[in-house]
This record gives sequence, C-alpha cells and structure tokens, in this order.
Amino acid sequence: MRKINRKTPIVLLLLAMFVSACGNGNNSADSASSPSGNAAPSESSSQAPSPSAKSPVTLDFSTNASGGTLDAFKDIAERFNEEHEGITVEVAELGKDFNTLMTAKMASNDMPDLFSTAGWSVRRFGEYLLPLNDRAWASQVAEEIKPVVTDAGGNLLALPMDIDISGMVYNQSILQELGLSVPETWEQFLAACEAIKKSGYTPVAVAGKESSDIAGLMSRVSLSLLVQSNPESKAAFEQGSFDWNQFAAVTDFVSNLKSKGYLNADYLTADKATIYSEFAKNKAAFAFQSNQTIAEIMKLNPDARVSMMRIPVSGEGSEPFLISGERDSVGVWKDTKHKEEALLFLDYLAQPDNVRKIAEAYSLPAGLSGVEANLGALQETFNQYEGAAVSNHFDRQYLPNGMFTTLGTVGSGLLSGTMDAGQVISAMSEDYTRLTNAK
Amino acid sequence: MPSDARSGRRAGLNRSRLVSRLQLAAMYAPAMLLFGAFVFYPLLSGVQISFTDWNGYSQHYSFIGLDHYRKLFRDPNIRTAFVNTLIYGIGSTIVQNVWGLAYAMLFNRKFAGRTVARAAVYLPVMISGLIMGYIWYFMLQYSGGALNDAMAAFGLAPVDWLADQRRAVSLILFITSIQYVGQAMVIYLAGLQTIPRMYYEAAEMDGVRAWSRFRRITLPLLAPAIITNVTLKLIGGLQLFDLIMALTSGGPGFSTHSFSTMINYLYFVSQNAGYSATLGIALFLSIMTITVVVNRYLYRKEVEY
Amino acid sequence: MSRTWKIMLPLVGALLAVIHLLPIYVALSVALKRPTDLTSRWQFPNYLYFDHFKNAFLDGELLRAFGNTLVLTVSTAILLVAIGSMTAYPLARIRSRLNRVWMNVILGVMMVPTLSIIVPLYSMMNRLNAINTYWGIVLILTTYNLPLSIFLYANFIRTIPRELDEAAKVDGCGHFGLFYRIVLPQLAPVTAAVLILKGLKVWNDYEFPLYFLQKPRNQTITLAISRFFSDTSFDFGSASAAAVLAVVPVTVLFLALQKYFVSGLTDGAIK
Repeated sequence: MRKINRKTPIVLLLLAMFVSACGNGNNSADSASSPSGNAAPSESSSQAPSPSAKSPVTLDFSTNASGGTLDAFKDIAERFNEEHEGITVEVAELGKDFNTLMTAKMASNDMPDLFSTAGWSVRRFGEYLLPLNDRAWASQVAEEIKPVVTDAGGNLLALPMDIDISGMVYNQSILQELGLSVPETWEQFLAACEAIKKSGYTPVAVAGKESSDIAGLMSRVSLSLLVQSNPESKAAFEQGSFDWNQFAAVTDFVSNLKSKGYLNADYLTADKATIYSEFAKNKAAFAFQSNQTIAEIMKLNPDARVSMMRIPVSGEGSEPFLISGERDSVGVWKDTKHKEEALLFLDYLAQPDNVRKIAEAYSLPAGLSGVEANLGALQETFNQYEGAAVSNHFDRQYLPNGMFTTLGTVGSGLLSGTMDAGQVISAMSEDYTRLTNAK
Repeated sequence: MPSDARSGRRAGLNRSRLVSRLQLAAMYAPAMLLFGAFVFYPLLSGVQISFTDWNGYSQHYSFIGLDHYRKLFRDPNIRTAFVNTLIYGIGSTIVQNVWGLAYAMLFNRKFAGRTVARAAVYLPVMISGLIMGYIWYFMLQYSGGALNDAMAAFGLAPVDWLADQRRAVSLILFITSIQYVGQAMVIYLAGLQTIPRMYYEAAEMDGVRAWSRFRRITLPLLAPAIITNVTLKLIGGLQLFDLIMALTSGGPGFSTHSFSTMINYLYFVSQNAGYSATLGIALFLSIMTITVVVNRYLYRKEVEY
Repeated sequence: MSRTWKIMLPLVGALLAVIHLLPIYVALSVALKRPTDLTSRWQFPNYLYFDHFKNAFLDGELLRAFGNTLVLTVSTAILLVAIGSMTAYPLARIRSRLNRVWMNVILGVMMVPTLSIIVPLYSMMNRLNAINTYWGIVLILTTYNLPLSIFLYANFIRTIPRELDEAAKVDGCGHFGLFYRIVLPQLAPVTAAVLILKGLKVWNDYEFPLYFLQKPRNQTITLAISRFFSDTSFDFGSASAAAVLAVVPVTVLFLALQKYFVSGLTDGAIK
C-alpha cells in the first residue's frame, strides 16, 4: 500500500510531462511569444495576398537582438502570425550565442529562413543572402546606409531597419553639476575624468564580464586613435599594411584609464545591467557604448539625463565623430525553402510602423527614408550632430570578420593584467593575418 | 544442440562454438558501432582538420602542416588552460573525496534530522552546473551580490571576487566541489554500510584506536567506492565546462579557461577551428595514454589483490 | 552516544543543510522579488511576486523544454542500460587480450573531455543532417555516456558467480539466452545506479544540446534557462524563477525515490 502511494505522484508527474510534450510537439502553429493584449491588426498594412492552401509553413527568424529591440521583433512577428494563417514566424533569440550558432549553421549550410545580419551583411553573410533589389521598399533604403548593405555587385542584401549612429554615452547631470562641457579631445576627456573622479563619481563604466563591451571600448578608441586622428595609419589599414606595433597607442590609452583609477571598481566583472543601474543612479559619467544603453537606462530611471556624445579625437586637424553602420538589418537566406513566405514577412517588417518600432527601441534613426522615428530627447542630439563626421565600425571597416571577439579578448587580458601590450599586439597581428587569409 | 555420439558431438561443438562466437560478437556490436561512428571517425577527421587553417564555416581552407601543433606548445594561454584543467580535475577529486568521506562518516550515525540534512547536501547535485553557476553569480557580483552584502554587514570592503585569476579559479573549484560533494557522500555512505559492524566491534574490543580502525578497516573495505568516486570526480573535474561558462566565460582574459572551454572558445568565438581541433586531438591522445598506463598499473595491483 | 554528540550532531547537520541550500535560497529570493526591488539578496521579500514565474513558464516555454528533456533522457537511459549491459557481459566474462584492449579503450573514452572532438563531430553530424534531430543527439549522448555504464556493469557482472553460467550452458543456453535469463535479472541494482547517475547527467547536460539542438522548439531545460541568463537579457528575476522551476521535478523525484536510490548505489556501484 505504501509503495503505491509513493509512486503515484511520480507517475502522474511523468505522465503530465509526456502529455505536454506530445501536445506541444504536434502543434506546429504555436505562437513564439507570450500573448500580448494587442489583437487589432494594423490598418496601414497592404493587403497581404493569402497563401494558397498549402500545409502550414513555419519560418525560422534568428536574431541577435536583445532587450527592447527583441521585444519589438517578437511583437511584430506575433501580429504577422495573427494576420497570416498558415504562416508562423518563430523568433529564435540567439543572444550571445548568435555568432557561435550562425557559424555552425553556415558550416552546415543550414541557415534560418530569415536572420539578423548584425552588421555583417556583405562581408560575412554575403554568399548566403538573397538579393532584395526587387522589393517595393528597396528604393526607400536610406542613402547613408545603402552602401553598407549593398555588395560590390549592386545587390541589396538586407533590410536595414535602423542606422546605428552612436558615439559614446554620457551622463549630462554629472557633467552639468561639475560645470564640465562635453569633451571633444582626449585631453579634455581625461581632464574631465580627473574632475569626475575627485568628486566621487565613476568616470568610465565598463562591463568587463561581457567581452562585447570591452570590444566596444577597444574598437572606439582604435577608431579614434588609429583612423580618425591619424590619416597615415588609416591609409595603411586600407592598404592592408598596418604596422601593428602602432596598436600600442590604444593599449597605452586603455591601460592609462585603468592606472589612473578612472574605471569602475568592478570593471572586470560587471555586466551591462550593472552599468545601466550605475547610470540610472547617476553614479557613472561615461560609457563606451551605443544608444541602446540610453534606452535601457531610461527604463530604470525615466528622469535620467543621459545622452550620446561624439567620440573624441586627439590632436589637431580632426574632429570628433560618430559611428554609423548597420544595427538591426534582416536578410533572407537565398536557399530557403519558403522564399515566398519569407519575403512576405520581410515586406511586413519593412512597413513604416514596424521599422519605426524597431528603430525607436534602440533610439536610432530608421533605415528607410520617410520613416520618422521618435527619438525623444535624443532627437535634439542627433540634430545637433547632423553634419558630424562619421565612420563605420572599426572592426567592420578595417578588420577582417571575426576580430571583434579578438578585440574583446585582448582588451580583457589587458585590463586584467594577464596580457601586456606586447602580447596584445602580437595577438591582434596574428589574428589579422589569419582571418584575412581565411577567406 | 550437442548430442551424445562422439563425432556428432564434435561437429555440434564446432557449430555451437561458431554460433556462440557470433552471439558474443553481436553483443559487442552496437557499442562498438557507436564508438566507431561517433568517436573514432570524428577523431580521425579531427586529426585532418588540425592540419588545416579552417575557420569553422568557410568552404575553403588550406593545409598548414604542423603549425598548429607547434603553436600549441608555445601558447601561454594553452598553458594556463592546462594548469587550470589540472587544478579543476585533481583538485576536485581530492577535495570532494575527502570532504565526501567526512560527510559520509558524519551522516552514517543516527541523529535527529539526518535524512533532511542528507537530502539538503545532495540537492545541489541535481542542479545543472550551468544553473548553479548563474545562481552563484548572484552571490559573487560586485554590486548587489549576496556575498559582498554580507561583507558590508560585517564592515568589510566589497571584493570583486571573480576579477583575480587565483581567486576566480579557487572559487570555481570551491563551487563545483560544494555542489557535487553530495554525490561522493552518497556513494561513500553506501560503501560504509556494506562494512559489517562486527569488524569494528572486534577491533574495539582488541583496543585498536579510532584512527587505526579507520585506516585498517574502513579504507581498505571502501576501496571499490573510492575507485568509483575518484573516477567520477576526475572525469567531472577534467571536463568542467558549464560552470566556468556561467561564471566567467573563461575570463578575465583567458585566466580561468579549462581545456573544454578553450576548445569551445577557439572553435566558435575565435573562428579558429583548426587550432581548436588540434587542442582537442592533443588532449584526447594524452588522456587516453595516461588512462591506459594507469589502468595497466591498477590491473596488475588488482590481480595481486 | 555521548550527550555532547547528541546535541552537536543535529546542529552540525542543520548547519550543513543551510550552507548547501544557500544558493537555492538566494535564487528563490531573487525570483520572488519585484524587478525594482533592490534590497539585498539575502533579504527574503515580505510579499510574493509571482510574475517572474509566470514569465519563465510562458516565455521560456519551459513545459516544452521539460518534454524535450524528458524524451531525451528516457531514450538515452534505455539505450545506456540495454547496450551497456549487453556489451559489459562478454567483456567481464571472457578474459582475453582483445577484451583488455577494449576495456582500456572504453576507459580512455570515458576520461576524455567530450569537447575534444566537437569540431569534427559537429561537421559529421551536419553532413548526416542530424542537427536538431532527436535521434542525432540521443545517439551522441548514448555514445559518450556508454563507457561509464559499461564500466559499472562489467564490474558488477564480475561478481556474479560463474557457476551459474556453467549451469546455464550445460542446459543448452546460447550466450543470449544466458544473458537474458540468468544475468540480466540480477543486474537490477546496477541498472538503478546507472539510471540515477547517468539520467541526472543527461538531464542537466549543456554541452551537447548547445551544439546539436539549436532550434528553440527543440531546447532542453538547461538551454531554455541559459537563454534567460544570456548576457543581453537583464531579467534576473525570471531567470532565477526558471532555474527554480527546473529544480523542482528532479527534487520531487529524488525525495520520493530516496530509499531505492541509496540501495541502488550500494549494490550497483560498490561491488
């Protein structure tokens, strides 16, 4: 008798799980995200041609989007699913495994039907993308971003939903309180850091736990010191003849930040969420991050006065600049089995309302001209910097694909003291050669 | 079926011997097929990849001979991973076995609340290493982490626990040990219960002291349990992957990588599949060799025993 | 037992229980707090906020992940028992040089970090179109957990007296018959040990599902939870809730089967 009593709950539990597994497995029309309250289809949508009576199609849309941007994508997918019976878009959020998994998928030539190109439409994913020149919205692609998503043969390879214009993030409240103006040169920047540190705030906040954040730091500094401030080395990069010993300029700068104590105390182990909260609490002043940071900080503290600033340069003869490149672009796999449906979803994404949603989630201008994203307080900043010098990301323009992670790793090694400048230089140099030759 | 007539019997034996051999072969077959397909074939393929500069996804690559192997021996990061893997492996084994045995001896006595306490110690074993790592991250965060909060309560300054290599590696070792010590404990408990009380009682009557009783009765009779536990812990420690990924991803820099995490990093993050395969092959061969040698030694001892 | 022991031991026991349960306590505390509640993680909230659990359940599609993990674990476990015992039998019974070699090979495979050959293994599975398939990952999980299974079975079989074998042979049993009728029934304790040790390992496995089960539809629990902790999602609350949810079924199972568990290990792993 006692034996039965003990086993029954277990059996029931197991049965419950089996049933749920079977139930979920058979239902291929599962919606990918949690139900939201929005059931009304958007009025401005063009009449989507109903697909002929085929078996239900599931589209795999893999993305590296996160936070607000991811939520926006999921919402759009959900509305699309509701409006289109027979097609289900599943949003696969690959997060930090995006690169890993996309590498694996490319190796197996088994790509998702649609995927985010994460800045690399041409140089990394080029051979896997379906040309989109014939789409209705193709002519609306904003001029600034068109060259980035078009390959040498003139093929438009992705739908750019927003234009990543960013520089650095800074806390206006702290600067104002200390009577500092927004630095335009590194000398001014370092002086500001000194003042900020003396007043008890954290000058520069780095999310050391995340390699991508350190890479962002290294990349911006490199872009400034090795490209924008230095026409000679810029030319060297373009010719592929850069002398990596000059990278010492970057390592010196970063090591200096650390040795002068301008970094947050947990610079090695903080994650992005910690940085956001430090800004929200008005404790940190500068971050070498993009505008998504601003949006996330505002979520924690809507009154925070945080904005974007141009990246400083050193010396005379150059001006502070912004980075402009791809952020959330979506492409279609050229060998997908569901071309028609995938393009249908892509066109849906290209609708002005949807483009706007994605752009706003990251506080960036939209990638299609004619779409006005409401950037709130940032609008002023963008207007202010409208004629600013721009450059594409350091690692996308001047380095072979794959070196973003190298930047992160050497940066982390540098900051933690496990790599000295010499080792950083040889690591960068080695990877540069290896990855350039690989394709 | 063997019949009684002599000649018939011989023929019958030969045939039944063949059938019996076939049956035996059939029993080996599935396992050997699986190993062949999923272990040895990839192994050979891996050797081939280790001689190329393949980046993991491109359709092109070229042969570079022994370059990767040469680099392997000079690479300081590999050396770090090597030392760490040893620490995780051997450290795990020693720490968890001693600790587990101590726990087992404690929980072998009857006392109030024993079952509950024992279950509590074993519970962490059932949690995935990855999840345990994430939970511990909540404890070890610099700002807002539980541990630093506790330090603050005692008036101590907060520490960035995972920022220093030595501290981080020790912490990883500690966390995996405290998580899995329950497993060693349970196996030792089982082992302890197979030792007849008689031996202890007899020894006590003979005036043998506690420590000698432990050394001369408990330890030898626990030998099978010890072997099982040491094997399990060694494997677990040498292969440590998910905990490290959750806590530090191998950082800061490369300082907490184990071989497993390093292989993963090289393949998927650094896009250096050729080098990753090289590390993998070198690892596979060296551990195989060590295991075989050690096993030979133990086999001889077992025979004597 | 002396009186000091009587008082000390339960205290020590309680202390140990608390220490080992700390991480779970912290996770629970984070899971039940509102996202804006920034009080110390030690402090249990004086309210219960269940939204995190709701999110974890729905967003993380934990139920589907449970199902996937269950199917995976059960299939692998069955194969491990069947193939493990079958392979161990001739290895344990027949002392030949070849068998010694096999044992060494098996031991070697057991010790090697499974990721050493991930690169070629992944390529191979690719070419076989086995990624994102159940059969693909079950075969891989079986293969890499088989050595320990064989090891445990072989050790145990060696302790079964040979006389029984001889008796069966005289009766005219072939090896298979012998195996099924004489040996297998006695293997229950080892089977229990294998199921417990390996079942748990497969249930919680992260490495193989990470590479071989990439579609969200196919995720296992550990993968689903790791999505929550992805460094681009800052929802500690839901992530902790998901972690807690993942622990529940295993815990329930364990508490119910505690008795069989210990006896299984005794007979299975110690002989």
